Amino acid sequence: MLEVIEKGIEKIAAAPPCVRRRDGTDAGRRVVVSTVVLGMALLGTAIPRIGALALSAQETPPTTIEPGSSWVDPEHGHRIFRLTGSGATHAYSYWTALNADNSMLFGYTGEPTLWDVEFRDTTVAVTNQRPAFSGGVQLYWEGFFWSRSNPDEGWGTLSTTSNSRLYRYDMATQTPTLIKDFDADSRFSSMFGSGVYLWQLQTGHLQERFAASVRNSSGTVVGVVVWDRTTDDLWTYETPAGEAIDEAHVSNHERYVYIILEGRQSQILDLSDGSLSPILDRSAGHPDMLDTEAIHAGDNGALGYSLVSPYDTRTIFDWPDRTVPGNEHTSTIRHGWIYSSVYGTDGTRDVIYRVRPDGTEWEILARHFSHTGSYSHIPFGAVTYDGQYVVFNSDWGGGQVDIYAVRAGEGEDIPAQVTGVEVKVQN
Amino acid sequence: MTTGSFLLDVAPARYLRRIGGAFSVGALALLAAGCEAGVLGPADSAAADIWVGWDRQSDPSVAEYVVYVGTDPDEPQDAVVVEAPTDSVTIRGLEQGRYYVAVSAVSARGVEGPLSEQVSVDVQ
Repeated sequence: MLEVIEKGIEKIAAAPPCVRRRDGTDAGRRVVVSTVVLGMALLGTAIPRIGALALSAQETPPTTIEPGSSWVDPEHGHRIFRLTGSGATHAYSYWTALNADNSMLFGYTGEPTLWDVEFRDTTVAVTNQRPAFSGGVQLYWEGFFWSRSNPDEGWGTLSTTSNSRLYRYDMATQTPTLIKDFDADSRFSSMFGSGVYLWQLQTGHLQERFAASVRNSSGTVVGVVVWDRTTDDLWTYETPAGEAIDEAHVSNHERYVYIILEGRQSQILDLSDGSLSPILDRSAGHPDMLDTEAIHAGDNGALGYSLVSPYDTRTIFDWPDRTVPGNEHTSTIRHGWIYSSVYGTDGTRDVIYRVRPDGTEWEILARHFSHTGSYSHIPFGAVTYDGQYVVFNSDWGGGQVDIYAVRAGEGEDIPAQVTGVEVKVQN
Repeated sequence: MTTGSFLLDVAPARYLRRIGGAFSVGALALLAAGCEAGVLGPADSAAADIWVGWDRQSDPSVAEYVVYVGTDPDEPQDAVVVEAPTDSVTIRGLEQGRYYVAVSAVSARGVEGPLSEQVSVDVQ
């Protein structure tokens, strides 16, 4: 399902009936702006909440949430559910922990783990904990992508240090399907040789083009491979001598790949012609993608980096107080919002927030109450495909890390799923 | 590009909102600009119409419904936006083939809800 960002809803009063394609190449930002403008127009005024940033340092959580129960943060008004109770984490902000209909949770308990999930008004049933991959094919936990359209399916790379394979995996039936053996493709092997493996799979909204880091047997990222499952087109990028690759991201409509290099200018690979362009040096943290823009949110605010004009950048919003060092962030983008989970070294920004892509409106959803003393305690807020929940890790004041979800839809007008669809042929 | 081979009709009679310009998708083609309510042009005599209906939502924040139509079950190519409380639309001029349809609701602030279950139909 496409997001509002891509929908391109231009409000033209009494306009005639028309139809549009879903894959307009540059609709993203233009549409977002029009959507926000619409909201402002309908409401009379925008609802900028910038200014209410006098966050005090995070204290001990006022309550413990039992597994399966919830609590409404009185400060921010959103309901927080605790999904696990015996220690678990989810992967990262790019990889939604919940599947397309929020009925399955994918996480990690020392091994890739799956749960059945049923959200209710104030409780959540999380049952049937089991290994995520029970058959002979094990996929990497990090980099597993749920399908946006099929709740049972996802994509992942083979968990190995010697083979480069991409699978589609039916989680309901535990059936893996090999869709690409890169080792058998000379375009891949001629660049990277044998004995390499794939890491940190990424894809866009179409889920047709996949990008992954390529690691050698010692774990060094030697490049990036991009593959189109519909055309079998394949692109490779070799790590420049003396450089290191962090990760590669695919833009929403899968034209651009943002290759993040450590210690030098990152690169934009335009898949339409295979050209490379340097992008303005990024801020700290990890981005998520719009159609023609990479968003770095959380590190002292939110910044947009153009993929089309790679030296163009814009400030989406700033935290007023920039005195707190050491913030990290993650960000994800759904339904006209950029979501980010952040933490500061003094605890003053340990929140999950969202901001409109044009910066006109933002909201703190919740404090995550995670004391981020170690990497696994970072919340890695990941918004679900339908925009209803942001799943995050938290030690909830310094204890065991478990998986939580804040209901982003509460207080927000996300319509319910349409039912009763019927189609009849006439004539 | 063939224009005017794809028609829309809305019941009850309300207008659709324009959300794009001219485009073509495979055998389907239309010119969005300048179309009148319910009619985009003369139908192809060899083509058929489909009627799409759904349960109207009681949520007052729902401002529109988006009807996605396409021949690819994984990625419907076309979208028709109708203003709530409209709960059906007729799409005319479809050529022979299997079409997949899903509907979503959009709030007044432009937030789209999840897609409905996908329904397929064979146009003979």
